[in-house]
Amino acid sequence: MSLAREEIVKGLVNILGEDRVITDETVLKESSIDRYRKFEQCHEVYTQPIPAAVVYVKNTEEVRNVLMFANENGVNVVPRTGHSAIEGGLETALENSVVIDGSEMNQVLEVNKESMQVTCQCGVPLQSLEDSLREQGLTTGHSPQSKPLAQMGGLVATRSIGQFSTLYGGIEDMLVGCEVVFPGGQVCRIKNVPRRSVGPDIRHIVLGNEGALCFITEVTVKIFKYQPENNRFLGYRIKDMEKGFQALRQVMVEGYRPSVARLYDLQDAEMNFDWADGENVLLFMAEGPASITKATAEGIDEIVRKIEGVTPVDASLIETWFNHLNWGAEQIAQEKKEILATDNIGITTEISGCWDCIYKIYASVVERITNEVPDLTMIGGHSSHSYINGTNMYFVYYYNVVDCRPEDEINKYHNLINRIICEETVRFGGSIAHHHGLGKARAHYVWEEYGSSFYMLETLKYAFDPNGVMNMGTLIPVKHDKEHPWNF
Amino acid sequence: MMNILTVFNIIPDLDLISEAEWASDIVDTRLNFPGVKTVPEAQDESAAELALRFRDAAAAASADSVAAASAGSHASAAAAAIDSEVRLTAVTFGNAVADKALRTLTALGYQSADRIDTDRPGPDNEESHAALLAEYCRKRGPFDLILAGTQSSVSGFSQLPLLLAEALQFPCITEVTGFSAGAEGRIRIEHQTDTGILSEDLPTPLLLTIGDVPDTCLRIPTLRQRKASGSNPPSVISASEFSEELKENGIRLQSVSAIDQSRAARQMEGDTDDIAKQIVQEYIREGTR
Repeated sequence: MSLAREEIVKGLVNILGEDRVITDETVLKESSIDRYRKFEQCHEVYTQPIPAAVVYVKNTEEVRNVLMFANENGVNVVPRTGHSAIEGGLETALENSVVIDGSEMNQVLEVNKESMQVTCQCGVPLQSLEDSLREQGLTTGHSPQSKPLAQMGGLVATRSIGQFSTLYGGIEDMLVGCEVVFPGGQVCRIKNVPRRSVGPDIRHIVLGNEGALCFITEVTVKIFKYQPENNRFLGYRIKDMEKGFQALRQVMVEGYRPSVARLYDLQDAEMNFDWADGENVLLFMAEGPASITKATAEGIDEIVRKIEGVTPVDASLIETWFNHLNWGAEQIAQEKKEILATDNIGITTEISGCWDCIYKIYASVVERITNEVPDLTMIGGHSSHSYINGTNMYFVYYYNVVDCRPEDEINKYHNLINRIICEETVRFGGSIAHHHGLGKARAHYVWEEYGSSFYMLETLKYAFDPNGVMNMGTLIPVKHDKEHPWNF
Repeated sequence: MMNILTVFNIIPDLDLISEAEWASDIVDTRLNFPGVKTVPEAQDESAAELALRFRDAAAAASADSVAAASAGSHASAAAAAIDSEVRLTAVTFGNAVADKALRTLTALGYQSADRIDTDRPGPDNEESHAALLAEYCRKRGPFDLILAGTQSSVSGFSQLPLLLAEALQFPCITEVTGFSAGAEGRIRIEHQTDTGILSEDLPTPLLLTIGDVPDTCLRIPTLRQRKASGSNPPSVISASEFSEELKENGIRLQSVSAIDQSRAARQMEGDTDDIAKQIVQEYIREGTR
């Protein structure tokens, strides 16, 4: 049974009070999308159903009460913290949805230096947590480019990863325990232990659920010693992209764990580095105790210099670049101005693949996008997260939006490009999303991504969200046109 | 044919520099920003974009007049086409780092993109740069219109365009916000004055300095445009080809330090109205002392 909009608002006011139930039109419109529809957002065009309300919750009990209200009345909810999602995960796909914003649950509850863990509520901004830890000689080791904006709940929900992942791992390696609330009102705590063997690791029901299964209210993550004085940087130009992948692979296979290992193709390198000189760029950072960073840097340097077509560059160039990587509100505002001034927009899509297929994915994607997408001004990308068995590829693309209404841009360009990337990735056996999440955008490829294991995802969804109120459309689409899967 | 030259400058993207990094590196009397991306000066980009718009307008007018003259004589149609042809040239000083911007301009349709090769980019000695540019203009011209940004955001003092105009004996119009084809072969110039925007039709040759003009971001060429322009790469001209020598200005940078712009602040908690009253009372007390 679904309620009328006014009844939804009334019910929420009864739970939270009027001042925390927002029905301002501008707030509702901005809350109906995330950065996936960046072009529409810049033009202040809103094509998704406008939510009935945005509510700000302050504690677990309020989350529970709001979720139970939504569950009992068939109201779709979209959990949110930092509002930095970029794959449509925060779009309010159904009429009269409610956005539950946890950003006011922003307390750091405990910094446990003995056990090297920090416990905080879902709305703690990662940047402020990291800043305060660094003052104490500690770090989360987690540094996604969205760090100035992202908050802890969303980072766990999207299975995020940071720039230093090759050393510290992704969020899945950092999460120790958490507290979550399910739509039926169940409040579940997963305790903080270093490891256990007591059945399946249920943290992985929470990690990456993108608000489609539960609302994350509290997380505990590992912390590490912060030793920036020992950082070592390495940079190289490399003529051949395929050899660049081989270099990354060899570094990982030989057992080195730099905190940063990146390979930029020549298009992306030209955009980022004046000194690229028309070549691909390889760069590394080693972090940790002095003896380890020295050995890591020397070992990597020895490996890379033996590869054909490599030219080392001054390490200070890498350090300077690295210090200016992250994106905050200022960069987003500047980007909006540039998009409006030029009608040229840049977007990214990240995938992953094992070493034996990643170059094929990269090459075929670049070729297809170059040939099939109109008005393209740039296609390239970089690998930024490597493992013993493979790496990711972060495709970067820019296009002019020509003779096109803002609301039509998504199908004319963005979804077309995503379709090509997903098709080629699946064809060669890679994964269509490395760390941004499926959201609603790539959910249309969920069956191809999962294959026979879709049964497991679907069963989780039915089990934890039987009434279908948790961020519907994320992970599994609500509407899917099999003939034109990328028109939405 | 209308021959337009755009003079542009490449600078480090200073928005990427934190204050702590500013004073770190002085090399050969210049501030050095290793590893920082370079970008064209914003006003020079506006100049380049305005030149492209002028070309587009001329091409559109030519297409209209050819269509209109199609019922008339072949000679009048051809004459209309020739008169509306616009040739765009760009020139900069610098090393190979500037070639990226030059390739962008050729992809957008600039017929020539020249780099005067020097490891001292930017007009740190504007008199010397102006003299060399004037010689370039005499060799590569004649140019009907020369466009340049009003002022470099890094090292300029707005002198280069004016010195260049003086050397070439060109009338110079400053703070131009737009230009288009005027009557009788003249150029309609719109420029900022103290009292507003003045629009006037002027004969060429002219040197125009372009100020901060809204909505003039340089357009972005597509990959196809870049591929098509690949056969027209930037040309590099050695500074030694000129009789004018690129001289230093004799000013030696010794050090750089940030101006402390911090102000005392105090955090006040409590009711907003009470705080406001307290501040006003304190202000009045300070004033009566």
